[in-house]
Amino acid sequence: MTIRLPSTPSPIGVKPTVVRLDPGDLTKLLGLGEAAAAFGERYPQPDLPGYYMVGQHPAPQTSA
Amino acid sequence: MVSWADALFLSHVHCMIPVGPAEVALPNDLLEDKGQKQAPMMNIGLSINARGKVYLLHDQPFASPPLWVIYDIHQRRMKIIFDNSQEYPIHWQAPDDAHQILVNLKKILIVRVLDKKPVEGFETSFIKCSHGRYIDE
Repeated sequence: MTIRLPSTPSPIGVKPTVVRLDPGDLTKLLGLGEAAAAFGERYPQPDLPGYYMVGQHPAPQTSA
Repeated sequence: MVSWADALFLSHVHCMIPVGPAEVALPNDLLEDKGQKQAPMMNIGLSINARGKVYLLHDQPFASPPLWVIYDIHQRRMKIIFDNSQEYPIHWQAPDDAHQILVNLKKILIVRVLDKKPVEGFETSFIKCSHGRYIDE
């Protein structure tokens, strides 16, 4: 786990922390494994409570 | 080039694809079957666990770490802000049940999924805005 302090203040004037989590950290999170499995299925709409298909978007540009 | 007939057929196969010849966005695997290429598409999902923690799931890597997510409580739409100043609006309107959670959310976990497994995550601040003004909580 890495805690990162953004160099840019947020719009509300604070510097929020960003915590990077590796796969080992992620496996400990409640419901994330099920959500990831449902997300991987995509079609048809996964029948998982609290899960929403947001949709397909162009990927962010890979260069700044 | 995708014909209108193909587009209609595919729109019935994949419910996420909007119907209409100008708006048809095909998944890349289907495009490759047809010998076409386009910019990579990213699938996005949102999951709220039993404790109200929210995961924003995606399947393509980001060029830069996400710094925070902005949620417009009137439009019910989110936007990811990256370390390289890029903004990434998400064209999805939260339904009522999700909105009730999002409007009180302080942190969101953005998780990249590969082969149905979470491989990378960033927990960032979830900042609300209303009528163009940020809400300082």
